[in-house]
Amino acid sequence: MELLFAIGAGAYGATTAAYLADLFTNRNALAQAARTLLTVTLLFWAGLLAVFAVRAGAEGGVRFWLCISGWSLCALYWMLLRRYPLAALGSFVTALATMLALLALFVVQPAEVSDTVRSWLLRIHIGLAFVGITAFAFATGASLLYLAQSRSLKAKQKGLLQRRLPPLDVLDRLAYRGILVGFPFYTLALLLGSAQAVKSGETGVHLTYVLAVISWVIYGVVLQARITAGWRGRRAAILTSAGLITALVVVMQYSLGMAR
Amino acid sequence: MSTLVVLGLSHRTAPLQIRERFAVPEGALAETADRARAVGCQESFVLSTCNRVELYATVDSEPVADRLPEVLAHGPVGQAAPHLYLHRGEDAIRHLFRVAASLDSMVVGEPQILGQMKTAFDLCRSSGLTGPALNRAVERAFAVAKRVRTETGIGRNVVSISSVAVDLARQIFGRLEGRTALLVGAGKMGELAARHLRGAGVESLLVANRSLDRAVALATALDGHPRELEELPKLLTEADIVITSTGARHHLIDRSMMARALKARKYRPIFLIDIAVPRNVDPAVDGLDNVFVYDVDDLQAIADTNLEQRRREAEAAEALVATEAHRFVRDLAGQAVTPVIQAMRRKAEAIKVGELERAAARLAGLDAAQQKAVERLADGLVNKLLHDAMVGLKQSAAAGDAEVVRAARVLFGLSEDDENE
Repeated sequence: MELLFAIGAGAYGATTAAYLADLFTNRNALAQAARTLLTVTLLFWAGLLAVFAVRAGAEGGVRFWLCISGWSLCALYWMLLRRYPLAALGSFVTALATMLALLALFVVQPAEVSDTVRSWLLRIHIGLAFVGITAFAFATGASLLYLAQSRSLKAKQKGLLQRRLPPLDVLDRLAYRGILVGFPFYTLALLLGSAQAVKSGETGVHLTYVLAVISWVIYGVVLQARITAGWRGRRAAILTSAGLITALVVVMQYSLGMAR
Repeated sequence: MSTLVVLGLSHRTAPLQIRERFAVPEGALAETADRARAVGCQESFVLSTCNRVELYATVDSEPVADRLPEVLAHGPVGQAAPHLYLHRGEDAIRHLFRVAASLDSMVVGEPQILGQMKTAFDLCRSSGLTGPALNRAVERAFAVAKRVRTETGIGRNVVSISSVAVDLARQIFGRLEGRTALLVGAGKMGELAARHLRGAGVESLLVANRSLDRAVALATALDGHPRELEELPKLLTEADIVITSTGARHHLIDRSMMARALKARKYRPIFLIDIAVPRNVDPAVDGLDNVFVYDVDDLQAIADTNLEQRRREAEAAEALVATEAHRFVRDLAGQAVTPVIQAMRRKAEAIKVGELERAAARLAGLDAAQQKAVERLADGLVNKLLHDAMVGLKQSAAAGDAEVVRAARVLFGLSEDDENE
């Protein structure tokens, strides 16, 4: 199983390399190759996750959710690719999936999952948190591309990147929808996490909880500012990225904690 | 054996005053092509655009080709003669392919020529003026043009200032349907850009001008809504695309006005196209987030870059067209020589059978095996005598040498009936 996970992580890495090559060379053959590689990788991971779910069952825990998050992110991207010219986002999405797969491979050992993971409350908490973070990751990718496209338009020279990127309006809507979808999931995840902490009689304030609340506040601010003041562009992109980084730190700390 | 020829003049060879003398209205294309048939052409079609007038025809003799200029000129050619070009055979095919692929256009890569060519060709074909040779050549030209468009980037980038503006607007807003544009001023360039945006799908057009009467007139012409110029700060909160082209000597839109409008529009992106000289938009406005200001130099620079990219792509397209033209001529020649070769073989076979029948009585004393040997000898003689001739014919045809095919007909005494058998 470990070998298959390593192959899967390698496949994500190869897809990232193909998308990066496509981004900087603008060759149709490379774009096609990257897309084919992504499709094959998604199919491979779909099979792997199905087998893993059957074999590990509830013991899959955080490892399963890390992998499913990476896979959902790529699958969502794959579907959006059919509608929008989002090739430039490919390297970001697949690099994030590679990172999540590596985290699952090296950090989380399923055999060492603690008893707490067996709590149904915690399982739902983990699932909701990963759905939220997947949506935030997508919003961050779209925000960064918004910034790149905006800068390219300001530079007044039609560069390679500008031609490869979707219109600003499309990127703006993707970023907004990412946060709009992710926020309720993340909010519920945090509430269930708190309930679980109370249930298991935990006391004291852990850094993980503080960071989780900070990332939630950041996304709350972005959403509020977007709805009331129309925040978009640089400020929104910086905050969205900061929120994702904080949330990923939480995931890493959480994963390490689960592995103990 | 007929040859494809093209006689014409274009923006490359003739000034406008000559081209307009030769121009053929769409309704008269078939009539002109028919006149070519009257002077001896077997098939013909006429293409007439603002940049070229061309007559494509198949002819079987030089005197017929020599009469084509008078067909195109509707009489004596006179002083226009030096502006005309005449291409034959592979050169004519290559020219046809280049025109269809927009390699001979004034703006290389523009897509209109293919549509114009299809319309002209359909008119002539439906009038029965074209035949198998022209149909095959023109259909192949359309296929080559499609290949050029998909395999090279010749049509990828727009090259006029108005098209660049529309292209940039799409890069910002995606679809332009449902968007509002504001035209400030009544300059010709502004009007042209507004028309272009309207054509690209912009739903609502506001026209603001110092003189309201002029704004009303222009808004009526463009199916827009007139506004007072004093409303400009408010209009900036409504419009997504703003075109400024007034003769004002100062900036109509400054940074603070735009910043206020931006806040009111909740930082929705806005695209300012400033084609006025001197500029109507303060360059400092471009420093604001989500505001994109392009002046006439910015647009021209992009148009020039795109044109240069098209020129580079055109080199690859030229190579593709040359290869396709050569292949087409070779295929055509191969098809033309097949009936001649078949007739040669049938004639030789008939001679062989006739001679064997004549000698049958004298060969009666031979046993079956000996008679078989004589037949094989006759077969061998026929095959070996024809082999070199047939190979030579095929090679000459592939090289486009129609004379050898003619010579084969004479030497083997072949008639048209022999070839049609």
